[in-house]
Amino acid sequence: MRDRAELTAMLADTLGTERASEAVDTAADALSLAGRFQDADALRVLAHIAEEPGLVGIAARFAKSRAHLRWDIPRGPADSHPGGVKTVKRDPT
Amino acid sequence: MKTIRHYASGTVDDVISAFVDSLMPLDPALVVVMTSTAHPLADVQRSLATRFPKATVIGASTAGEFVDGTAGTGGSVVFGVGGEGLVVHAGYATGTRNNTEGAVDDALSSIPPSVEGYPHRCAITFINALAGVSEEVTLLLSRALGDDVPIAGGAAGDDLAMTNPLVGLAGEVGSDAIAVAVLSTTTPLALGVAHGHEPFSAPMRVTRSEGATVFTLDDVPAWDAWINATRDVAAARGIDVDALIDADGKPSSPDGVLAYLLQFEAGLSGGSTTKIRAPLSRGADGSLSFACGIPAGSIVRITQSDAGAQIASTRVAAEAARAGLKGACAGVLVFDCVCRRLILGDHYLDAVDQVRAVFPNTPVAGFASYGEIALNTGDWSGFHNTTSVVLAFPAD
Repeated sequence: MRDRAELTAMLADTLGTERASEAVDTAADALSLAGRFQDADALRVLAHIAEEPGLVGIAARFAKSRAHLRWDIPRGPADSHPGGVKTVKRDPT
Repeated sequence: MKTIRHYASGTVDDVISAFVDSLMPLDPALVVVMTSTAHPLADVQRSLATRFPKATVIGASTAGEFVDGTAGTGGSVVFGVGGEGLVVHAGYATGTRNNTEGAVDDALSSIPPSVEGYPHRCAITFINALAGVSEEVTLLLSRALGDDVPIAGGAAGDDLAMTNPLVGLAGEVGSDAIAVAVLSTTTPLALGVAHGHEPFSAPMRVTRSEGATVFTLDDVPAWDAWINATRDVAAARGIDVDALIDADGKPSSPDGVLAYLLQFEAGLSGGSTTKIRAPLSRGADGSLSFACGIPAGSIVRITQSDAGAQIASTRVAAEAARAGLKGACAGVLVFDCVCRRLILGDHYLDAVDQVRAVFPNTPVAGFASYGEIALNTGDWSGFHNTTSVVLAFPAD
């Protein structure tokens, strides 16, 4: 289970605590989410913030990609490496 | 790994010749070039890329350069990395200001996500803070590279002209650009970062902004809010904030406004630390432009620092890198905010000596930057101002 404080903390280093909290509150209210919520709903909050232009949106997309990793949620195509290049094999010696 | 570093001055031919001679014994895989505006970055990079075709030659223009034992302006520095346990891939792209995501994708497009036999990765990147998208670029890079790839780097300088900082790869050089090298290694590099600034002003809300430009704070023009909040503390440092702008609304001296702004930077409260955001220029309309987006609604407090805190924070960054390194150190690359040079003046080497003290008998090289990048595994943000970023290379 997640809460607004946890999502705020994911954005606060980039946006500052106040602006991060404002973004999370606005998104959670828009999605009618209160109290603690499931991982999927937490991702919806970040996805909602990710629609904002500029640094706020980029910070939310970054946080969402990290959430996929740390919360053990499968990543979607939008969260994969843009290059999609195959592994290169080299002789370590 | 093995490293060398060299500080050179004189003509650009002198610099290139000295760098070639110093790099020759190393057979480098990575060459980081940091040039003052006296030495064209493209010329130096192109010459080294031709002379060392197996090496990735990357770097930026600077606002000061240093190695262990020597610091100055108007010179150039090279840092070479060679030996076993290292494979380097790199990319370069332009258009960061208006196509930030596209530029990051382009820069990474030819970099493989992994190299078999080299389980650790670390990225070194150079950007232009004046494009106003520094944190944006850093987060996009990290999102693409993955949570397990630390990123270190710096924003190019231009000897405080604040007009044309340059980054480049193998002689391809631009201002609105990003250059990134991804090091795949058998042993992990280690990264440390710290700053010495503390907030002192009352909190101010950003009430109008667009991208990296802040127009008003608490509905007051940003410049006016800044000088009002700093008048007394600036006076104690011999700065008359009311004399920085003349009666025509223009700067009274070429670098007076910048020198003032780089001593009084914005702090965002972000949990356990204060994130520093540097105002890099004043607009004619009284706005302030930063190195990354400052969204409306942000709360900032103005910060300051003194010489002691600047020196101490360099030590903290070096010790963090040392603690993260497994075994002996081959060399240290430092990305250091130009504000430290402005605050420390003739004592700038005292800060570099803090790195030497933590990494004795180890090559150290770096430059004075307009912003620093340090994003370790687990970090939620990676662009900094006023910091020392210390990247340590393992010997084994």
